[in-house]
Amino acid sequence: MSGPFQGINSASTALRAFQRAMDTIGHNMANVNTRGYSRQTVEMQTLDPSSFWSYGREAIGSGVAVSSISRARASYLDMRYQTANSDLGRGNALSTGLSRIEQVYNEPGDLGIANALDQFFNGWSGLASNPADQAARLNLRNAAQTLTDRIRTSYSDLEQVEGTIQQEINNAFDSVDALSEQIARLNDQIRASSAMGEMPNDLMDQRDLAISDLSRIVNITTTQHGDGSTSVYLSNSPLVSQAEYHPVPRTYNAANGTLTGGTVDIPLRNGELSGHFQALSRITSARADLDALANNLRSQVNSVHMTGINADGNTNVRFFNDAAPQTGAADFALDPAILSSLDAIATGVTGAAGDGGLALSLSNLRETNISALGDRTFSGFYRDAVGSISQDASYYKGLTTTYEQVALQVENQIQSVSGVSLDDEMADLMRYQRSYQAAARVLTVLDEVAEDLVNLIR
Amino acid sequence: MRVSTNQVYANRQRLANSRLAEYVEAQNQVASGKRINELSDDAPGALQLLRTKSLSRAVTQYDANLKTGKDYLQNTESALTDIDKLMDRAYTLALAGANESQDSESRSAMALEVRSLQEQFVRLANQRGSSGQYVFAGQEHDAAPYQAVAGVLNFTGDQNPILIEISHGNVLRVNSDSHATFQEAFGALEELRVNLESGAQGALSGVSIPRLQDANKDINALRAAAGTGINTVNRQEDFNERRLEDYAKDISDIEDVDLADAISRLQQAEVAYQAALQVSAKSFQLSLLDYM
Repeated sequence: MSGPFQGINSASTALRAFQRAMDTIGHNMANVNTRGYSRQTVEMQTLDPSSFWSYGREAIGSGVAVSSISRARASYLDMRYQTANSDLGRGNALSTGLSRIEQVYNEPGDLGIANALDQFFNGWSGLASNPADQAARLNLRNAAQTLTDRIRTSYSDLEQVEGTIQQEINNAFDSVDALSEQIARLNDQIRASSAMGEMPNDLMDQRDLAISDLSRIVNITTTQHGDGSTSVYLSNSPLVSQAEYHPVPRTYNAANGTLTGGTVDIPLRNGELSGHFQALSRITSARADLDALANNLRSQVNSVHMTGINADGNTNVRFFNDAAPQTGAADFALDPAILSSLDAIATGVTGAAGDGGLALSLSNLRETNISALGDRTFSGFYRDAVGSISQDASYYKGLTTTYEQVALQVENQIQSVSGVSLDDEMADLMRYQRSYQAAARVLTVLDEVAEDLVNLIR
Repeated sequence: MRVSTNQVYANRQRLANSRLAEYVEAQNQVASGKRINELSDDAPGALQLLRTKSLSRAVTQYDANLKTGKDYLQNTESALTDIDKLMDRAYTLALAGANESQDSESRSAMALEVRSLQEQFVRLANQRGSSGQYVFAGQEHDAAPYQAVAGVLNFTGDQNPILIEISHGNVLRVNSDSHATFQEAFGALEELRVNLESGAQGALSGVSIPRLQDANKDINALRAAAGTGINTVNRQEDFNERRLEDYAKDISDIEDVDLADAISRLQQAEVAYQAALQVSAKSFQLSLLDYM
């Protein structure tokens, strides 16, 4: 029903609507730096017209109302970002892990195992050429000690890196569960307020941000439901089904790359967690390589050395410590006899002071292909081992840069759609300010008209 | 495309940051002079680097071995030179002793001199190298190998070779198998001494002189062999030196930055970084707020 001054009503609806619009602009500007925030826009709609009778039945507009406040969001970009983010997470974790492994070896300076191996064989060569020289013996023993120290240290450094990565894996699992729980809780709240006809934009932003964070850690897919909630799956196994969340199983099966819990096997294909596990398996193989190096040094050098007669007249003396079964790189050291006396080192098989034949055979091991090391020399085997790690490290470094670019591009597109532009908001603010002023002016004019009318009656 | 405020800031920040990273990287290369600080900086190059360094280290050791061998050979040669001189003196004495003009007094003086030559001979045959080893003892070189007992030179060493590794799989013998020659030469001296003492003029010219000549020849042959050994060592040292230079060049080619190149890249990076900063400073100033 329309009063005598319908315009006063219309103008006041306008004032209310414009105020809401300016409030939203305020909200947008306040959240210009909020992570995951999507700018909100106010949609306006005319109010239902009221009718009056003239020549016929006519309708007159009765003002404006806010029909909805919506967030600017493109969900296909969110999906693309999840994939890019999983790639980036895996690339980052793996390339960081590989570069940590690489650093353990301290190459290509003089502080690595490569130099120690060379000096070890040099030591034998020097001793072979001058078996009577105490300095040559000392030199050899120092070189051998350096070699065992470096192999042992590298091994324990690898264990340390392994521990760090294991810790990061635990943190990642914790994060997956925490994020799943948060998503489920937000789903619940979103569902509740959607049911009451509200548009919970900010809650949805928070949830989408949590989903995006989750996609960094594991490969996920999402399904949106009519009630506003979103389900999250890790390789088809639900992490979040609407308002419920499922803790992720934490047993990793390296053979087929799955997380195993009870009867379910969930393939882990991407994300930080998968990168960490891949780095972990590289550590396992790097440690196995060091074990092979240490054990073959033991058996090859000892089997020759034990045939010799040392300066004390003893034979069957080991050069490196050894046990059956062999203990690998972890406790690789010189035999206690060698450690306690330089004279325990044998240089020949005759026991003559000038016999360097055995030392010469040991020096020749430098270029001998060892079948247990894949028909490679000791140095060649070691070079291949660190070489494959450094090649992978360099490959994943490059790949991660590419992933960063891809993720950045999608993020830019998302920002382009959802990000707040202060210039836009200021322009809108001015627009609504002018509109508000105009509506206020209408009120003033109508007020004057009403006053004129009242004065007319007096 | 629509651009949000955060995008502007984030992009400028990223731009300036990556320019800064390039700048710092260029700076590091110029400062350290090294192109490869970690293997993954250039994985194939780094492997080549490890291999070449390993080869170069081995040659360094072979070089050290050569020095040991040279020491052995030089000690051998100098002892043999002295023995040669001593034998020459003995030969001169034999010639003089065989002369009819000598009387028995002067011959017994000569016999005394020969005795002292024999003592010198034993001392020289027990020559030691710089590590204290007896160079004419074979592998039993930790004890003096020669003792003169009742006019006979006893040998307690062995005939085994002293070998030094001069390159992979190649060895050089640095001692000479000298005991037969030494024993014969000493025997000749002893005979000379006895003949001088007894004044056996005929035996001096008929037996001692030719025997001394033969012994001299053999000693000279040993000396020549030691000299040849020293030459071999010298040649190998030259060869190793060239190889080490080649390796050093290879290593430097792989590992070191080309300084001129690195400096010009540093300058480029600096200009790029300045440009990024200026763009940022300018674009941050632009805002609708300034025009309201």
